[in-house]
Amino acid sequence: TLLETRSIRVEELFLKREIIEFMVQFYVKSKEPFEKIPEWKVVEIQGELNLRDDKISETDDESKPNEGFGGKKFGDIHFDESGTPILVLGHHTMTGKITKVSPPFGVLASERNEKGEYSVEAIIREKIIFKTRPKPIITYVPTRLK
Amino acid sequence: MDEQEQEHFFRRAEYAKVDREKLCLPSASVSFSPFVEQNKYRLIELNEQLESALKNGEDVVIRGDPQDGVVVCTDTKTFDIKICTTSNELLVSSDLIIPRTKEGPTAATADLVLRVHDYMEPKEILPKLDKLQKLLPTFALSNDSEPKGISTAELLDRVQSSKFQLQEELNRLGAIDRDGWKVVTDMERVSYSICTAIDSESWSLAAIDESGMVQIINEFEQVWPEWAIQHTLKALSKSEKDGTYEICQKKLSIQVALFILKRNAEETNQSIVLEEFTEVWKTMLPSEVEPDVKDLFGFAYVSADKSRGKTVEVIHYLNPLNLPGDPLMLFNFLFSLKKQWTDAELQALTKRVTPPGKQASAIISKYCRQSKSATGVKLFTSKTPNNNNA
Repeated sequence: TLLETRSIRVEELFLKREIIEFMVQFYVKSKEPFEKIPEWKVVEIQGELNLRDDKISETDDESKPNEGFGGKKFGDIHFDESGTPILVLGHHTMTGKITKVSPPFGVLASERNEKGEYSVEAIIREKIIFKTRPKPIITYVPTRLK
Repeated sequence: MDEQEQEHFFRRAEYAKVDREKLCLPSASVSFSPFVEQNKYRLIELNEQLESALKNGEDVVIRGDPQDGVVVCTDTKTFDIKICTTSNELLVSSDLIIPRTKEGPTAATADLVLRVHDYMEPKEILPKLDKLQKLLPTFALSNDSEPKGISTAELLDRVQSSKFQLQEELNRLGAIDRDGWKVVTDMERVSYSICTAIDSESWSLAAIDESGMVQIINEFEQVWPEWAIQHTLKALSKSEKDGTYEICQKKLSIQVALFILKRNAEETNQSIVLEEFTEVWKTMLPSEVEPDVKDLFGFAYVSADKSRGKTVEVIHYLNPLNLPGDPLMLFNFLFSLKKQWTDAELQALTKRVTPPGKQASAIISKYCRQSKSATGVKLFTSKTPNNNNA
């Protein structure tokens, strides 16, 4: 599933456009003692999620502007008796697989903290991967509770 | 999730033909967090060295000018960072539970805090040390006044390297830390004085006393400052205890060779006939030392000189400060000096530019064409046509 590999320049690390003139050193630190940082998970989907243009706002707070995916429902994940994950996404159901992420992913903050460090907030050692039916694009259909 | 929400949740599951009786719990109702579009995080693959450094609280540092590629360093290794793009979408959840049993809360909510198609991948590389040669002040003990040095911290601010690898390179360049790092360009003169003293006093190489050495060298006038004699003794020795040094024969012979080669290069701008060089070399060293030209590959090379009537082997000095760190540039430079190199000569020069996980021989094969001499010795020539023209 690897599409391409490219270099990244130091200045691309900065989320906001900061102007850094000379060489710098940025320390990467684990947020708490490393053994204590939380373990997060990845849900991997084949293809791409697209937000369908919905006239009905699905977020609870209708006064908020449409922030893309922010706050929107994704789907439900169940695990059958053998532990196989099942994703219910609108009108689609997909079965998936739990796999180890090895080497693990560190979840790195995009912005430096007040000490000027990039913090490793969490670590990911497991993921659930859902493979779709032959359709490469999934249209995300937010589910309305009746 | 309250009871009503749970009911809706499981009814949805039923529509999807999920049998709620046969589930491992909890199931999850997954939503995107309100800030998911803000890209608050990046994913980075943590290889063994990075994970272990973070675990042990060791330094993990991003170094580079804004225009440089991102490089991450632990205390001992340097990693280049690449962005890998995947065709699959990666949704990161901070609180999704993967259940292992049938017990547990029935249903829970889970948030997706990040939605990405890429992650950062580290790959171990050689440290980028070429800048160092321009940053380090140099001076000749015999001629110049001592300049201010540059501190390790300042160097790490400018050079994309781990601390340990930086230190190794400083050692290779013969740099000294006296109020900052600097390079003495003629340390071999001090070595020569030490060698002469050992010879004249018939001292044993196994136990050289520092204060005795300083006394003899500076007997009539201050030839060399005490710190220079001490630094050189340290550089020449295998071990030291309470001011008594065990001198390494190989290191001493190399330094004396450098003395001969560099003085000759300064005075005559010509190379020395190998046979003459070896004779002088042996005379200068204490009798028990057996010098070997092979030890000099790395700062000297031998070539065939046809300009003196007949073909003789001559030896030239090779300044370590002039050697490029990039393999292609290094080989271009070497082949500009002479057309054919032996394996032994190239091995000594190639180790420095060999990336982690590879062998020097592989790098040599990559950039050079192999052939055999009339006597069956393995020889290497340039793959580039330009370099092969006389």
